[in-house]
Amino acid sequence: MLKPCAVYNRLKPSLLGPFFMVLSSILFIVSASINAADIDVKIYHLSHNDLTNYAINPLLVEPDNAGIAGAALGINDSNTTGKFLGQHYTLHPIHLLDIANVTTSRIDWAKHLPQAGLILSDLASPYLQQLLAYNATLSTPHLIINISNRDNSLRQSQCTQMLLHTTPSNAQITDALGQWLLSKRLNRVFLIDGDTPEDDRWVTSFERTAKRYKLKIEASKKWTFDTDLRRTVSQDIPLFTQTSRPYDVVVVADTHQRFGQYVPYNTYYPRPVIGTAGLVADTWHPSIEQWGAKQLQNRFYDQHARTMQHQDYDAYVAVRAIAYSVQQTQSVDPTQLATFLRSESFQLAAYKGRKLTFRDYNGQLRMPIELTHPLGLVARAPQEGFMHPITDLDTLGFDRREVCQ
Amino acid sequence: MFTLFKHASRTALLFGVLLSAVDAQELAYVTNEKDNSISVVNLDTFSVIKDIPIGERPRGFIFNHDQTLAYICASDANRIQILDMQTDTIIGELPSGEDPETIALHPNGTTIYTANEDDALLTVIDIPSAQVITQIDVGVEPEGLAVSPDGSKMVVTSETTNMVHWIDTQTNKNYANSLVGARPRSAMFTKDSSQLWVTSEIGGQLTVFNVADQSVKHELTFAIKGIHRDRIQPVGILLMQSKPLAFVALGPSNHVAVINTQTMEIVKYLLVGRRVWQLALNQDESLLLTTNGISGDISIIDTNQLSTIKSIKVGRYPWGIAVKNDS
Repeated sequence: MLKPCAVYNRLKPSLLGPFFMVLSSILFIVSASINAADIDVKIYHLSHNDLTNYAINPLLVEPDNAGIAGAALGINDSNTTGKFLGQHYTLHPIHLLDIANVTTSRIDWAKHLPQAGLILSDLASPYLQQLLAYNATLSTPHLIINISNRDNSLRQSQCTQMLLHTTPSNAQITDALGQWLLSKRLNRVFLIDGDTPEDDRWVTSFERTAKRYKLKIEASKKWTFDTDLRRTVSQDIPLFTQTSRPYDVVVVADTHQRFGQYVPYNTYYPRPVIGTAGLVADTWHPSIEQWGAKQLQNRFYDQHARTMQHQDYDAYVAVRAIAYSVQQTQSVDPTQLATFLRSESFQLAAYKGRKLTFRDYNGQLRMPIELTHPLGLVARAPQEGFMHPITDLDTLGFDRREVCQ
Repeated sequence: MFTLFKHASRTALLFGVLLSAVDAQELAYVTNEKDNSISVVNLDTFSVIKDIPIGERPRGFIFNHDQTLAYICASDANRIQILDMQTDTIIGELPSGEDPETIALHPNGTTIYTANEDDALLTVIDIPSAQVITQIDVGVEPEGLAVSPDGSKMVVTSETTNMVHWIDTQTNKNYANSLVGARPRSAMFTKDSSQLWVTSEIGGQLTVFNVADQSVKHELTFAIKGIHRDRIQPVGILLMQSKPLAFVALGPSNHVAVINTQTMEIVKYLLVGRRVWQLALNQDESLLLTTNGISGDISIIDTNQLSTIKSIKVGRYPWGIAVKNDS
């Protein structure tokens, strides 16, 4: 393994790899230094191309390139670094709908995936589970980094070494909200469940948080309206949020953004709204600028002509995590990288003001979670005073003993 | 702690009186990143005597050799501004490329280097002609700059690439690159140009290189009782000339480490303001000044006692700092 601080200077021709002659004309025009060994790093972005978008508010419609845009920036940044080390990164998108009718047939993964690849997964749980099952049968498995799926079960019951998550679990998100509620002493909750399968998972996660932090769910209702709230919002929401006993806060679970944005300011009792609308917890927000984030926001905007969203950040971090590991191990072997990523030697600076590491027991990235309103930062979890014997970042999400028992 | 500070400030006043008796007036210039201004602090009275409005998001700040001019990175204005020290007015600008963050002056007094954080470039500028001589490709988010006192080499650290890029100042060529811990920030050469000190903010390390062959001479990590290691984030470095001591600002741990440069042992950790950032010494090196971003103040450290004697409120997010001798 390469030690930090190893020096690459121009006088090591014996170490130049076989790729050098082929790639030198492309790679080294701008580079002043010559490197230890050239490495070509291919990263595959696997998505299921699901175009269903429930959002009725144009401000909430996801950009078409949400997520993969962040991966593309990660590739750029890694190449800027890579040019000094002879490492060249490329991104290869694969859309599931292009390769199989996934609703009716099993996917022939072997046909479409490379040998021992580095894969970013932007897949819903059924597809990802299928991929993991396939990966388990391989003698040289892929490294799979989940960049978008927040399903708690993937962190609790999937403990293969070859799966990592740079997107937080629902549990990390709801714990971040729970800590904020506790620090504000907003203990009595009115919970609105959007009643899709994703919303149900979010609600289950919030219920776990509530139990952990002794928050009381005073009332809970499922969202069953089929009216168009754009016209009737000030009549419908107060009625819907009227309860016999008052609450301190409304928690909305509307992961598809169908109605949540209409809840704030119309609740029966004048109370804050948090969850998937109002105050939200996530990994990123365009207003974040501390810890060098401003430079990342600028680079993203220059490349994509839009602001950086949390999906982009989660994918960006995945590429950077791979690149850092390649930098340190000088290897593209998925198994070797997976081991390094979970090790103590892995440390990623990712605009959060502290190093990010992976939980060795379930491959989840530890990270601070940003609490924001639509236009700016409100707070950051973990909140002051939430302690953990290893790191306060482990007050968010699943601890070792909650996993794979 | 407050009583300690009260006591300390009395000592400071006494110290200030003594200092003014033997020395002419010294002024510290502090760039306030969020206030688009410079706070000028009188080091005899430890008070802010004036604020000078300057360009957007001022960060790096240095003087020319005779301290008649200052060069300031106005990051969001994409300019290096030239401040006339007699009149406190901006008298010119240098082309800097986008988003200049830090600057360093070559000992020849006419070449200035700036890191363009957004563009992964190092810009080399000729001051007399106000022309860009060249731009050199470096890693992502170049930050710390240092020119060797003998003038032959300079380095730039890149935060996201985790490297020190070594540049020959004669040819402006990048001749070597060294990997260091995550998010390298500041760099400083020893006076004899034989060692280079580099801090890694997220890696939590200080790396000392032998300049001759870029080999690693020392690596240091820091530990402060009661503070989680993730919060100990080394940034600004300062090596004293008159004593074998070095200081390393440790960011959100709110401490400055004091290092014996002969034994490379950490002598002491000094409590300062919140998110301590850059460091400066006064002329006789009796005082060390620190900019503290979050608390919006500067801390004054007595380098003989090795204790923090005073904190002085300046603008919002103080960043760069330099001391002007007499006036």
